[in-house]
Amino acid sequence: MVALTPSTQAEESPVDILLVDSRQLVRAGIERVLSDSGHLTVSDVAANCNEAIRLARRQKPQIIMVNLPGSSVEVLDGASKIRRQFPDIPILVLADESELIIQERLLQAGVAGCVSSLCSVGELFTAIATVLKGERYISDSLARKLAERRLPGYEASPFDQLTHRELQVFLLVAEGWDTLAIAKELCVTRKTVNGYRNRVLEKLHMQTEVELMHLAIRHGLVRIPGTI
Amino acid sequence: MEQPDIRILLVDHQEMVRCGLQRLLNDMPQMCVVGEACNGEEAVQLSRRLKPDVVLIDVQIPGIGGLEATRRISRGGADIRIVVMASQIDDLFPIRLLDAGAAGYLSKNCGIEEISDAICVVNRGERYISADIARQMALSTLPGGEQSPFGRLSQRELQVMLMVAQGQSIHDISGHLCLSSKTISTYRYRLYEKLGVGNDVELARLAIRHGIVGIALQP
Repeated sequence: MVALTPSTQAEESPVDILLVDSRQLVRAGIERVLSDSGHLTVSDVAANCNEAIRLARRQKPQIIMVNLPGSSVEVLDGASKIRRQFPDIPILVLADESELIIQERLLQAGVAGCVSSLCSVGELFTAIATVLKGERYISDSLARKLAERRLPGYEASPFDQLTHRELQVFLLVAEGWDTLAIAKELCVTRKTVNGYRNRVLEKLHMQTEVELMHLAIRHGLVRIPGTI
Repeated sequence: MEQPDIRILLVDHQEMVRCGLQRLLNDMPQMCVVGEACNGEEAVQLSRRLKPDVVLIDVQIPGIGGLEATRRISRGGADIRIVVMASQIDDLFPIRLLDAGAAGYLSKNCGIEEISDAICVVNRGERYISADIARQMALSTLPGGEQSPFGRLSQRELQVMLMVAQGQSIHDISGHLCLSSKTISTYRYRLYEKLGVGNDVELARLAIRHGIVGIALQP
């Protein structure tokens, strides 16, 4: 078992964590590991980020931990939304390692920590302890990859040039959302969505939305259920 | 007479989930986790070495993946039952996994009690499919929900469908097939209707899920 901060934690009440995960079984597993540590407890669970915001309003947790499978746009938007609502609660996101652009944008949005969803239990505890102190935590492999991007000669990702809104529209299009649904989700007009979509097509040198989808799948930003 | 514990190999890519499930299962009567693996290759190796009664495996694991691991373990000859857990439910995948030799299929949205029920059921040699997945499977076999909706397409529709799913524009398709853009659009809307999709991306995703179109490697 990994001790968090052995000195004072033992006498204090455990740290309240709000866990965001859509799967009951996964929540149960993570809850058990956290509570077995003796100094952490899952005070509430939410299936998605909107539910997390509702729950956090009622009872403020000390950390919000997001572990959502599948949709990277859901993680990015959801975590950003939580951050705006509760700027003083540290958010720790478990994200897929392949989605570098998403992790980078999450950090830009003010998320306190980003770890690989494949990280060890030990690293998870370290990340929790770090963000709890008010510091930020980035896993070693993510830090290395982000640093590499700053080096000369590094081939930029095609998605770097997309603004936050463009990235959102790109991911939603790649997940098969139509213009109307995207407009509703982002609270903008269809015309605005079309404008974003056309700019994305232009910036990424693509002709069709299906090409965008193939690009997103190739870069691990979108996954299709039933395929590995 | 007391039944021996059911020996379980637990396969999941998230260490914190694996670790938690292992403790939850070990707390239950008759359940004993004898090994853990984080990817498909390790799952196959450990199944051979440990010869567990039941392998509880997540379908989205790295390496060869849950489907291929299931196939290899079930063809390994040992009497090992496999229960697959899935984060996202898909109507096609359970059938492929059951074909590959899985005895059980569960949504990861189930509780720990259901996992333990499923393990007991498959250990008796029966099959276990969680209710939400069974419902989807049942619906997909009703009239109007055939296994492959692509079987109902005409030759021409199939041609247009493949081109759309590969990312070609209406303009390109009409050029290739020597048909007007209007005709291609008519085919496209008929495709949407027959396949039950609302746009090109949904059509492409459906084709990928059915293995009809692969992911384009080059833009």
